[in-house]
Amino acid sequence: MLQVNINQPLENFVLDVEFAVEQGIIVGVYGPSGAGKSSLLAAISGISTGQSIINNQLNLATLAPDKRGICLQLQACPLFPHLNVQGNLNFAYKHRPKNNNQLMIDEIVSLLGVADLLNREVGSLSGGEQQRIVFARTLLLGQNIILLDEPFSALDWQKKQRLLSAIKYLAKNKKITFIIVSHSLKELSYCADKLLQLSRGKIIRFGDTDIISQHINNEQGTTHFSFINFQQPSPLPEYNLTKVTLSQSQQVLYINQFDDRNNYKICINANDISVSTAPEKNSSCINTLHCTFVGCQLQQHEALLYLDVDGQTLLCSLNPLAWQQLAITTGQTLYAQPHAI
Amino acid sequence: MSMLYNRVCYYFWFVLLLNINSVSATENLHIAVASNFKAPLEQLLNKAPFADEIEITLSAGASGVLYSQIIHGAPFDMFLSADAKRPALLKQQDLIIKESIHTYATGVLALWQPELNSSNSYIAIANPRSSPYGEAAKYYNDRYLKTNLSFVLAHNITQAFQFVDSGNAGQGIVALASLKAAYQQHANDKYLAYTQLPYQQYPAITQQVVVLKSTDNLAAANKVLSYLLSPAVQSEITELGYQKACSQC
Amino acid sequence: MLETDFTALFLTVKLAVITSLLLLIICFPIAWLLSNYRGRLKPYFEAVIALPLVLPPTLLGFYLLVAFSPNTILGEFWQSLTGHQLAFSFSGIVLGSLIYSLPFVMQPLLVGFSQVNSQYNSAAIALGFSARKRFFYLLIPLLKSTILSAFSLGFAHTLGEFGLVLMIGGNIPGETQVVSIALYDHVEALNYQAAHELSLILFAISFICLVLLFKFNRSNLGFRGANATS
Repeated sequence: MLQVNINQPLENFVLDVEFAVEQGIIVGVYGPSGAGKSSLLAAISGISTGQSIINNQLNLATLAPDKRGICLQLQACPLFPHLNVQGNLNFAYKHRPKNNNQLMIDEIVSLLGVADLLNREVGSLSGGEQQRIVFARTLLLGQNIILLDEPFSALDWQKKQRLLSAIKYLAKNKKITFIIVSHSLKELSYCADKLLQLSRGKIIRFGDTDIISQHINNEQGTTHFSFINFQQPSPLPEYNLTKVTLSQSQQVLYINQFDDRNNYKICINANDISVSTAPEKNSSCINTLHCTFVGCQLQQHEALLYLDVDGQTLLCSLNPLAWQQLAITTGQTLYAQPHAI
Repeated sequence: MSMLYNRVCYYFWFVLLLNINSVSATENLHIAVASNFKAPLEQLLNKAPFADEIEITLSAGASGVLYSQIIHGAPFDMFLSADAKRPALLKQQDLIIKESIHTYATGVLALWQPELNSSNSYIAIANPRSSPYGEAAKYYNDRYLKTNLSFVLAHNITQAFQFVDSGNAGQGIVALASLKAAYQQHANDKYLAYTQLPYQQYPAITQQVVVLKSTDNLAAANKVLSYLLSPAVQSEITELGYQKACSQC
Repeated sequence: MLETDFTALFLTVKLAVITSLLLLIICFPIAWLLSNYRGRLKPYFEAVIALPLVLPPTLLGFYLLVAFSPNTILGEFWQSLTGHQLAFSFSGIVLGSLIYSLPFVMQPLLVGFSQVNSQYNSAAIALGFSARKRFFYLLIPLLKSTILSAFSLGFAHTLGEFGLVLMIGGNIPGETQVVSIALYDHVEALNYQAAHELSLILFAISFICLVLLFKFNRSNLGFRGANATS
């Protein structure tokens, strides 16, 4: 149990935060720029003072930053340029504390899929490649509480997904606590157990990710998205696709190549779906999901449809005009065609 | 390009101003003088009858440096060297007006030991290779003084004085002129704790003056020259700690 | 070349090596402290360090000569400590060179430290490295090229030192007669041939030293590959 209690004056407001998380939980910290997210991580890690951090009854606030058993990966966290990629990982591994998270280099390298980068010089890595190695190094530093500040900002969604799944896997199986700061709600929704919404140094919301992320989406009018769980991925390399099956209805989906063994879940943006009342025969779209219309939430420029597919909720965003023309009733069967999954 | 143009322009104005200056001033004389004689020379020139007519610029430096500057075309009219060797070399190279070589002063050596019972094992002299004072000091030591102290070589006779004055060297063979000037300024008795060395026991330290061939102000140069060699000025020079120029006469 | 010239050459190299090594030892902790110091007095400290850069060496030399005198505290202390006096001794010109070349060793170290501080040190603190580990395993390897250039700059600058040694050295062969002094001697004694030969050698040594310096800087020994930022 990590208990955080911070009251620290910042330049424009007071950072006033109190929450507690169990070991092995992933907390996503969401908020606009300047909300105090990075300051929150700094305070928990012990770089800045004025807080009370208690980990399993041990008061960390009295300890030096290197004795707290907390690792903070800053937003600008460079690799060490005098070592190559392998060297950076070895360096972290070699200098980890005796009481550590027991992760091995090989394990992390294969979990994150960075084996082909090991012999590169750090200067030759792209921004995204650097972030993956920096994250690997952070894990190998051996701490059981890891704070990440915008760790994957330079990665595309597919790569991001793999790393986010790795975080989920490590939290669940190695009981590592993660606190992740990000401005991407989608990223946090994908992996976090709990979401903490921060504004001007205060917690606005703190709770289960699904609930908080819905609230935030409604409040901010940002693009909605939903996650669909599946089973039995089988790769179809000749088409550069993966065939997956939804567990209840045994519906089949073809998705872009998928190399994540830990998290059978895809994210579908609400505005990347088209719906029709009859199955379309002559479409270029290879995926059609049979679903049941549950309800609609009408907003000024958007009609947000809640669909039930396979017992899971799929969100679909339509133009209000399209919504009127379709004239759907509750319980009606709809055919949803997701693009780009 | 424009930088070059600007530079040419500046140069043009510079030369023009120089010329206007030389026309408007009565007469202009540029004298190179060995550092150790700069102060006495200034004093003497200020009192000269032509002080208002001739505008005199002094460039002080080590004789060797001034010599190299002259042979490379420095625009001096007169050169007061601290020795006789460099004027002779200039004469060889035909850079001076014949018959203008004169001895304007002869240096006097003094053995100076401010503290009699000093345990300091150094004796300071000017470098015998480059300074006539040093050469004379070494000659004197080799024949008469035969000290067992270690020598420290100053790059000129003024520095030899500084070495002793600052207490880093226990004693030194220095110029009488330096001691007299220091006493005049500070009236400290330690500047009187010297023994003047007998003239006969070391080679004469003749300091010679020449007028350079390249001069445009021969008349003014001659005026200064004859003023320096006049009996009145010569006796003043003696009082400053030099021997009369014409020791042989 | 004269035998005294060889002696002078050897002495000069010895002086330059000893001076730069001592300066590295002295400057390293000071640069570390100063680069971490954020107080009001920082510009004053920096100015003091840069002073030898602007003060004429002959002036520095003159005041050192005064300070070295056995009548002063420093001179007396040294004399009681070693039994020798500072002026006209090798130790004396080493001390002079330390002051004279200080900025040339300190500046690259300061720049290196502040770079490492802003880029790597703060990240490493956050990651949870102890001060000892950061110093030995990050700072020193990252600053390898900086240390090398600080050393070579100090070395090169001490090679050409003249005014200061002229003032406090006393021109003693094998003890304080460095190359620049021997050169000056030759010129003053109108022995231009010997002066030319000696300058040629000094020129060659300095040139090689500077070439090596710039080569080290180019290949940036401490940094593998191009700039790395995340």
